[in-house]
Amino acid sequence: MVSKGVMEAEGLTKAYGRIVALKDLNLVVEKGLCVGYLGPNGAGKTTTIKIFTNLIKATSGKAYINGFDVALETKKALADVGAIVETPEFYPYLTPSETLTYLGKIRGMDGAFLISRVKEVLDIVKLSQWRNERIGKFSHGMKQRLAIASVLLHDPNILILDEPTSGLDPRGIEEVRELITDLKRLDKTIFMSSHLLYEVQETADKVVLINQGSLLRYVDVDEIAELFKPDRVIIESLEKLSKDQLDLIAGIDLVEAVIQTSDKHIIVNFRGEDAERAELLDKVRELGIRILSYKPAVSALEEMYLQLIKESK
Amino acid sequence: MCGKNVEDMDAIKERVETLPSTFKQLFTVSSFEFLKFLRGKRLLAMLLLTTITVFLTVAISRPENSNDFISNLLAFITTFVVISVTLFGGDAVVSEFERKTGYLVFPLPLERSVLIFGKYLSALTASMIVVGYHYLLSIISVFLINGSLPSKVGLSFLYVFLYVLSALSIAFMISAFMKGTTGSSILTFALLFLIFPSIQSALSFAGVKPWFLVTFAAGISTLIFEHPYPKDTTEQFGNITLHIYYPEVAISIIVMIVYAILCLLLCWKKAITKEMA
Repeated sequence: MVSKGVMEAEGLTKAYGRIVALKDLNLVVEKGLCVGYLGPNGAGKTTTIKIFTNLIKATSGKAYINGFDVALETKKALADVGAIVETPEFYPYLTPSETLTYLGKIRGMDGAFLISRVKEVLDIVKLSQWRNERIGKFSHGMKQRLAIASVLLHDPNILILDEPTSGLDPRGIEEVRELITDLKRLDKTIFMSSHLLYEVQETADKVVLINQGSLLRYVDVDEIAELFKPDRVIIESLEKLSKDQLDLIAGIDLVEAVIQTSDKHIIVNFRGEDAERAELLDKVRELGIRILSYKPAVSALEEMYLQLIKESK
Repeated sequence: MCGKNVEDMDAIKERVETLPSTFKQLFTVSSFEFLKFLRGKRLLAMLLLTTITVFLTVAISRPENSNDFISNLLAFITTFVVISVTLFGGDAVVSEFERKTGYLVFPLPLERSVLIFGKYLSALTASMIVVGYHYLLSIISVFLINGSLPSKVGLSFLYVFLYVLSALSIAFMISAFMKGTTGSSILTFALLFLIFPSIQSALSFAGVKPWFLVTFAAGISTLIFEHPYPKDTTEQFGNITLHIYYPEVAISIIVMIVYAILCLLLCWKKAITKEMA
């Protein structure tokens, strides 16, 4: 077969009776890229990931990893993959060390190398002090950390991550984000689904957007900023904003609408791009309003996401 | 894969080649699964139950004939097999789906067949430890009290081994088709302990020999201690004709082997296609 990328979906379709979860998905993930996989609940994100990780079979079409058909050459296809899918669960009677040893042995790791690697990855995810405790007692966040450790254990070149920060506290989320950035530097291919647009915008090189099982866009993150300019800003003032001040802002010629969200916060819809956004700031300050913060109401990615999802309905 | 360069191809090849053999993966799965029985204390509980049963039997009755003695001691062996396969294999496949551990193991470079057969081997080992321990205690008891060893113990053990294989295959098959661990374990136990024996009794009453039922076939494991081997009989009580059937050794061996193979194949077929939805 001809394969252009490390991961490839070829006319991938999955139907559950009359419900089509995935419709003729064609996708190529090139080596060394971090691809964010976005879509609302029920869009087909997890279905795609489950097909790529041998959890379900496609109704039609093919999923290839490193050129191997996942359905037919499962062992070879998944040899260089680390995957976290949905909420990870572990055997409660095993400890983190034993679990990772088990997973390592399945992958052909052994001896002193496996022991040191288990210790290393448990250190990375900060679970070392619980390495000999039974997993049955672990919290959701601790299990998520262990899942990340299991993905890193064999140093795979392809990582398939389904909501990798789910269940983590803010510090944990930041650590995972840093980890993904580090993995990107090591030229790993990362295919990551997420609900958190900011997270994807911060970490991904490319973004796939799907809805109702169909691919809507597959673009570079840099391109999004060009294609989808945000045209709303959030303004936070030092003092309470009076009705007169709101009327004055609404009267600025660039402004289309002003929405007050609290005494000191407003969202302003305006016409134009970056230059007009800067001009709007100057005009608001000319009205004598002391501004504490001034930022786009949504990111370019969020703008694209909302617009395309709306159009696809 | 002509879109990839030689360096990439070599790296992929190297990764694939470092994967262990199917046999090694089978051993890994089996040994870690066995840890579950040890940690969960299921095995320990079964060994304790076996010890109590043998000691109670010895305390109640000690026939001078060694064959009668061991036949008494092994009277509950098929019940122990049913409990063992329920505990060690009753939820083997379905638990990966219900408890979501499938999300951990199915994305591994591991064929599902290897996972299933590894679990089967582990459950077989655990069940045979219980059965073997029961036989060992029984033989020691007979030898210490009667000073002689009963004949045909080896054959009886072989027949029980066949019953363990077939009962475990049934347990695995049920486990592959069911959606919940509790339902799967209950159905396994009920089928082997209540449903099959009830059908067996009903068929006997109707004058049909239930040679095709695995629980009936398993009877050969203790019946071989009887000399001569019992034959089917019919007795008349007024208008009621009572048939007493005994399993034939050769047919029963075939029946148990067929159950073992067929049910395991059905389990395998279902488990490799079952989806982690």
